[in-house]
Amino acid sequence: MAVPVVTIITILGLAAKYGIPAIQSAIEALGKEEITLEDIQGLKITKEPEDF
Amino acid sequence: MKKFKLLSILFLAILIGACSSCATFEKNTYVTLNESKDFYYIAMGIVADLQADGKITPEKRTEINKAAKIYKEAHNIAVDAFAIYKVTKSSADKDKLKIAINVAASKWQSVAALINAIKPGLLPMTIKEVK
Repeated sequence: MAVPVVTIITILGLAAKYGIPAIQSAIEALGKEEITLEDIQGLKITKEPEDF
Repeated sequence: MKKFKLLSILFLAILIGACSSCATFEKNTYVTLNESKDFYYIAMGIVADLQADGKITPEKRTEINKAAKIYKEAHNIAVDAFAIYKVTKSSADKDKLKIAINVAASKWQSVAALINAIKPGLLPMTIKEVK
């Protein structure tokens, strides 16, 4: 399946600003076949606002 | 450049929404909560950058942190509700999960509104609804 150029540019732009992990997590979420309880626990936000 | 970044976020949100529209409820929920978690980290990263640039006062940062903390708690409650639904698969727990996600989405609006007041249009105001 061909990936549109605009999609690639968008992903590169996001990766440049927010880092690869955020983009990787979004793509991985889309591709996940089976969702385990461990996956669900991994959705928790652990970093406090003041720690940024 | 900033507008490109905003468009990039919105495009990704739309892309995620479109791609996940045909998935199962569990998959939709997972993608949505993953997206809302990412939004939090992206938003707070932006806030830290804006503060470093002197565009956010310490008072405003405190206000944003309060709203972000409320959102964080609401998001984590939704994650807990998802874990419960994953085990029970009951319609009652499914309804509770939907409500928890809607509550988190409303709390996100408060965070996005505070940040968008400083940089209009920087963050999306909504998180995809789970059906």
